[in-house]
Amino acid sequence: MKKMLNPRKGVALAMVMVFCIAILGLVTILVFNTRSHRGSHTYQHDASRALMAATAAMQLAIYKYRVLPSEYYKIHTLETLKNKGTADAAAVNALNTLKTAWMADFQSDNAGSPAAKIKAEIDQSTGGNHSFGVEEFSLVSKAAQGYTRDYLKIRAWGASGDTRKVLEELIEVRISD
Amino acid sequence: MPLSAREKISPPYCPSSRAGLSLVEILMALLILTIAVLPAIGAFSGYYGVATRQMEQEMALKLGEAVVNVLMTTNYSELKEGAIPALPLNIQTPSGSFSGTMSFAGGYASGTPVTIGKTKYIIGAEVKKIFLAQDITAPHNNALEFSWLSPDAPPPLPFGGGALPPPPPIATYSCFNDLICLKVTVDFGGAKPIELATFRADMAR
Repeated sequence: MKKMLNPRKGVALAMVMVFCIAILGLVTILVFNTRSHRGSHTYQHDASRALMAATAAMQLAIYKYRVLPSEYYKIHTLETLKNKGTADAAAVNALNTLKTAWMADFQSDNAGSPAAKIKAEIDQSTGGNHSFGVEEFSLVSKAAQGYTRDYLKIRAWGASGDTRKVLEELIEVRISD
Repeated sequence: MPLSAREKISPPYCPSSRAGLSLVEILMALLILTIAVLPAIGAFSGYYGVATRQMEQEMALKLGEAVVNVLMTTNYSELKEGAIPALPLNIQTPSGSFSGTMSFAGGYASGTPVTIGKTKYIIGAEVKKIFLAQDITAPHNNALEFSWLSPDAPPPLPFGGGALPPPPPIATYSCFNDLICLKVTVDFGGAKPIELATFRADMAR
């Protein structure tokens, strides 16, 4: 009879258990959050490395243009003809061949290319795995009052781990007639 | 029926007299709470450590990128030859502006330690030639070489077979510049220092 008249017996323990479950739930959430933050460590590092790799690709592309400008102007001339619709099949073939060869030097995945040697050096220096290349290399002209401004438009990419970064630069160039 | 004296004196049974907690219940509750709270404290401590390390790493990466940017704009010839006695470093940090120097000794440099909060960041740099300028009088294989293809593309295959694959390069252009790899290291007391490396070309032409 007395037992039945004691309805609060065990309530304290039950409440403590509820609190404990709530605390354990919070701890679980915290642990999972911490794990995801550990992943973002790697992401930050990879992002910086990818940016460095893209910078390397950009430097290589600008340097090649500086030492071999006439090679690029051959490509540019053929591309202009193609865009105007006055290029024949032979010119289009020549354009494709030259452009492929021009861009091949910038891709780190091409074995034997200058980019591959730079990649090997960067990988060795940092212990990471980089790759980089150039997506776009073109000459864009903008008509100003009485003259035309020419810009080299280069879009380079760099990757490290799962992170990829893209750099784009417009460099004013002066084309002598 | 008349009540006895004992029944008159003793208080009536009240169920609320058991509403309080017994010592055993309190001790058990404390024990269970301790078991639950201890891992929580550990988790908070771990979370704080991870957050702090993340901030330190982010700062180290920003410092590394800032130093790479400084090295990318420094005089190329002096940098390549390791002829810079001291390179000024002016870096904006959350703690304010930091002014220091990088002292070069040949291809290696060490910077003034940067202290942000309780963490000390030690910056180092290395300049290494990865391509050597081609020498006409004594040719070597360590120069940067660009390939060159004939502009005369191969003719397309008959019967609509498409174009042939591009031919192998028929010539190479060997560059007459030393080209360098820049490596920056930032040690912030973490398990592994931050290491960033990139390539710099000579744009003096």
